[in-house]
Formats: sequence, structure tokens, C-alpha cells
Amino acid sequence: MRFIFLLTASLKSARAEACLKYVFSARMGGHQVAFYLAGDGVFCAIGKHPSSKLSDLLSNGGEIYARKEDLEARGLLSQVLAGVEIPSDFYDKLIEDVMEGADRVMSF
Amino acid sequence: MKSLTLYLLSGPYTSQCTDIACELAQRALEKGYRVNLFLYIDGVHVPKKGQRTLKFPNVENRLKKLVPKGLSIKACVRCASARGYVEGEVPELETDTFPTTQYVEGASITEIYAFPAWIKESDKLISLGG
Repeated sequence: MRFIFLLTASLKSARAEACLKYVFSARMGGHQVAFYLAGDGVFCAIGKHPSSKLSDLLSNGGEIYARKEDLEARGLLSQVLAGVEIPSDFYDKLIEDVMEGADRVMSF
Repeated sequence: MKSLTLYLLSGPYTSQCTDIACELAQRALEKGYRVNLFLYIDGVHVPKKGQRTLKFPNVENRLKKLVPKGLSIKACVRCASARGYVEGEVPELETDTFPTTQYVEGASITEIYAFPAWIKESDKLISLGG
């Protein structure tokens, strides 16, 4: 199955911690995972943060998308983890994936 | 036609959730999907008329552009009544819609059961805030 996760909360929040558990659980279960980061969720996309294991997700075939405007607003654009995609129109891509590609959608 | 339901629990201007909901609604409507927006808890503040923002985007104006494009908006009666949006007496038995003059055209206050009905008919659900 293809799972889409949308995270808009910052990395240390209860919502983010719950979301990451589901993200990794889905991937370990052999499902396709697309992880969309917007708002404060883009803090998960930076490579320096020690709590973020998203590099493992990427190396295991997961997809991660972060919204450019939210990265820029937070001064994070130059710190994005290698492999995280930054779509030209994040919400357009998200809607397309949610409505046409996803079997399950979970938002946090 | 596929449909998307957005479930918004946060009020406007306290986080990006309302803006994200509007962006998602706009993109989905442009792609030809049916879009429902159900407002819960502080989300019921979102369609209030008379919002005057100073130098940042106005949610009311955003909704006024999305409703003609097909966005359906409903707010939970218990949440809306608690926040002063339901006018007149609230009947003991919940009916379909409840009176308010405080919401933008196209937004209504309804029983909570409208939300599971939308979930049932929708292809996807995205929740924001809370």
C-alpha cells in the first residue's frame, strides 16, 4: 500500500513523535511511504537534527517532500537533508498524490 | 467526481493550519475534486464575517473566493454555539442547520453528524490542527 503522511507540527511535538512512529512502522511493514512536510513540519527535513532519522527512511526507499516557502521562512533552505525533494508547488503535488496515488492518508 | 474532506480544528491566525487548509482546498477545487471543509473546536472561528487583518492574509477573503468555486463549509453546532455563533434558541433535538448571521455566505452551522456523513462519501480525509 501507498501511505501518505502529512506533518505540520515541529519535530519535538507529540504529534511529530507519533507521526514518525507511524512513518517508520509503515516503511518497515513494506509499504510505500511518502512523507510531506509543511509549516513547522519542515524542521524534520534538516540534516543536522539528531532526532531525525529521516536519512534512514530515504535510504530505505521512502519519499520526503518539504515545502519551499516554509523552509525559506524558517531559514532552513540550505540545511535540508540530501534526498528531500522540494516541489515547485508543494500543495499541488500533495493533492495529486493524496487523491490519485494514496491508499491511506494520515495527517498530524 | 472524487471528493476530499478537510477537518480543521484550529482557529485562524494561531498557526498555519487554516492557511494550509485553504491552499489544499484551492488546489483540489482547481483539479476538479469536490471539497468539504468541516470546522471543529476553534476551527468554527474561521468563517466569521468582518475579519480585518493588518498586513497579513485574510482568511475571510480567502473563503469568499473558494466558496464560489465549490467549497462546502460546515461548522459543528456545539462548538459554534459555545463560541457565540448560534443565534436564537438552540433546540434540544439537533436539526440540520442552525441560524447565524455571523458567517460568510456558504458556511453553515450543522449537527456533528454531518461530519461522518462527509467522511463516508469522501475518498480522502485530511485533518489539520488540534
